[in-house]
Amino acid sequence: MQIKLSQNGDTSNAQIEGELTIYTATELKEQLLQEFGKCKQLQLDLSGVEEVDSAGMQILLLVRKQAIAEEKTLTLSKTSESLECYIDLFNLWDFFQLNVPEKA
Amino acid sequence: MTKESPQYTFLLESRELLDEMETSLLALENEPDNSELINAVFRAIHTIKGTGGVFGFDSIVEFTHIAESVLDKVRDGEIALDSDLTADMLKTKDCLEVLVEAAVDESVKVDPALQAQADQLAQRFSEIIAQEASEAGEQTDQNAPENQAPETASSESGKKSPSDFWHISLRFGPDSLRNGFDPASIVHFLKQTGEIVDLTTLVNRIPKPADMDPESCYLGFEVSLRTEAERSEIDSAFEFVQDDCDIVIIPPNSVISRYIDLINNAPDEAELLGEILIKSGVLTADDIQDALNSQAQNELSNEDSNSAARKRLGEVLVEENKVEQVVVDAALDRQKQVRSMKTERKYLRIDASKLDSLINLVGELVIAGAGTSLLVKNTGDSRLIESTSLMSRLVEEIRDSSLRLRMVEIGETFNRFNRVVRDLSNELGKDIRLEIEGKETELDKTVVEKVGDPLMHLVRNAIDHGIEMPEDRTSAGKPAQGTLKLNAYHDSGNIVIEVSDDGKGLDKEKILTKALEKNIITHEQTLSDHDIYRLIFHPGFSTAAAVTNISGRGVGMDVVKQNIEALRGTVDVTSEPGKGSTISIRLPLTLAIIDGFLVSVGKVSYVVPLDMVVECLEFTDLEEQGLIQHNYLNMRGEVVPFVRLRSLFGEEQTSQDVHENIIIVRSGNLKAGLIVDELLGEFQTVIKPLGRLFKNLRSISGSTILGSGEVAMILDIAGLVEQITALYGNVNEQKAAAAAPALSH
Repeated sequence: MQIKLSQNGDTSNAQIEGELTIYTATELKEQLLQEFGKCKQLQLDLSGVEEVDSAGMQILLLVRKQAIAEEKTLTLSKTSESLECYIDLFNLWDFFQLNVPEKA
Repeated sequence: MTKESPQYTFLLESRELLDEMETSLLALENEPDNSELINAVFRAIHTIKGTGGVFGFDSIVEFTHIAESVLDKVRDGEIALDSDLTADMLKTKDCLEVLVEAAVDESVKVDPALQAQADQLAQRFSEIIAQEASEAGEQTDQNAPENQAPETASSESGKKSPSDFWHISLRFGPDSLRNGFDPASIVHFLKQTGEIVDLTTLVNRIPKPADMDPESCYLGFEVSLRTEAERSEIDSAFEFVQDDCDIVIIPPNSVISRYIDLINNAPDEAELLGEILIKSGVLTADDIQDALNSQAQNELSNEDSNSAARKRLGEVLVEENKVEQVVVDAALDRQKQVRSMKTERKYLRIDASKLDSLINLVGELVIAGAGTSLLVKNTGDSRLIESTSLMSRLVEEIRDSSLRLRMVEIGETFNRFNRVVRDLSNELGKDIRLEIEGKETELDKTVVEKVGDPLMHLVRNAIDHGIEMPEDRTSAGKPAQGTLKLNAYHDSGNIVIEVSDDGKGLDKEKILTKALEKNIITHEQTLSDHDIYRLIFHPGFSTAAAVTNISGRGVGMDVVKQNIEALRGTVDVTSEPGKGSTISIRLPLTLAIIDGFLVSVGKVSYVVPLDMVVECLEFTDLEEQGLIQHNYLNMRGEVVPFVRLRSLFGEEQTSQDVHENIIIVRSGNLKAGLIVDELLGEFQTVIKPLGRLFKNLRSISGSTILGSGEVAMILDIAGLVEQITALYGNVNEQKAAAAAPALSH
């Protein structure tokens, strides 16, 4: 997993690539929360996420909860196919403020 | 079926549950309103039904289902649990025991008579339900399910939910992810089983970032599933996560109480209560909104804990007549029970043979350790001696704790007799109360298993012959209710189990007459009362004429004695006319390893069980003080008979200047002395049973191997003491006074 961070005023961007799984969950949690502590808006570009599991999803849920608690903004600006699969499986479109994609 | 198979576990669990059910049913006779007990009975049947369903044991599901329906009504207070119903439920338990066994093990065939009884019970239960339903009349009629989906809880009572889908509530345990299990796979599976109408991922259990362990699982799901699948198919999805995951599955069209259960069992999700209710289709959104609003107001005025808030919501719902009080009560009770159940069941099931092989190995270790200690002592190396002594202490601890693994409380065995006493006294028209003491006394599992039958015999005897009919008791000035008491306690390395009744006691004259008839005694013999009572244990004392359908006093008493003696135990009886009798069984705590006291005569070593040694004295000293007369020793005024092991075992006199010692041993309340050459001290003794060839040896109970590789005989102290007192008479009973003058000159 690789996280590329960039900052633009109050908004941080995090571009995550690779796997969001139990193997990377600890690192993901630390980095995202640290970054989120410094900014008011966090945008996640998850288009490069190749593999997801429930542990990885859990970190995203944690950050989302944190955003709600601290009245900050978390946006999933881009998502990958495997991530969308999980979001759909767990019915989390609303929770992440995403539009439900049209089903084929 | 192997012992590892889930079916076997089901069998064991069912037995446990059924025992629990029986205990609860019997306890309910005394406190009929105890809802916890009713719940325990319900739970037993419910669990067996559920698990039976998973394995596809249809006959069990059918039978338990109808019983469960009746119990559910009992639980809701719609049917009273009267004595008839209790009796039926007890019979249900008996039938189920066999049915479960037959279902699990194909080689077991169900007795047609038992099957008939089961059918009869099912018939009666359906009648009860039908009757209750017709009494309840129209109210339930409109909710009667018209199109029964598979697994609809058609016979359960209460308002039913209009929802036509399964509701599945999942809370994953913290270790799920670490165990390599991904909750997503469950959701995925459910998706394949049917159509997921609605799914909510619960994030409320994810803690604050600082407390959150990224590798722990905090997820939960509430799933509404529309499917044609059978219950067992849905269950199979959860087979591998059952242990660390809370799963609630509610079939379509279930009664409201089941949803309430679900809500109340999910303590952390009080705020989601409304949503869940709407989703389950139990109540409408308006109802919930009202309830939540009034709760919010309450909360403002009273900042309280989460649990209190939950309870309040329950109250609110009732106040507003949204849910009947019984439903909420049941749900709350249930919740308490789920908690207490979690603390109760912390056992690990182990195959007994594994334990046996461990204990065998420990036995070998003890012997090997003794050998090493001996060798080390000979080297005189102090550091080596120190380290081996530490090791032998550890070996000793291992021995003790591995033996303790085999120890079980006797309470369970005792509890079985509640039922026996109840059934028998009803049959005989007697009123008998069973009193149990010393439930927590522990003893070896094999001993517990083998002591069951003799105990059963004694209990039946006491009920049938010991305790009189109520009218006889009142006329004798005793309370009409008889008392049968089971008591267990530890006494110097033995466990004593007593069966006592407050009945009429043994009839001395009758016993004497019969003993004379049977040529067990002659007219010339004068016997003490105690000796007369003991005649009932004499083989051949029992007669077929005395057999009733339950037992004959004395019938099979010799069998009882034999069984107990096979466990290296003894039986004794005391009795007082008009006041009752007590039979006490004395058993060794364990059968494998004992603490021994090593002595030697000539070149041969003997082991005396240490628990039986009272004290050791120097024989020559006693002789000089003039305390020895013939074969008696004056021990501080007490007369103790003794015997020379040398002459008893025909050992040759080696030399004249051996300083002889006497060890005083005790068995029951008898004491005797054994004269030996040397006292060698304590020794951990692994008992090796003697071969069949030596079965009839009276004074030796086994052998053991010493550290040096030599064989030592273990003395059968109980046998020896009996032999010695028989030889020289029990002096203490004839009063020391008689022997004292002889000793004084």
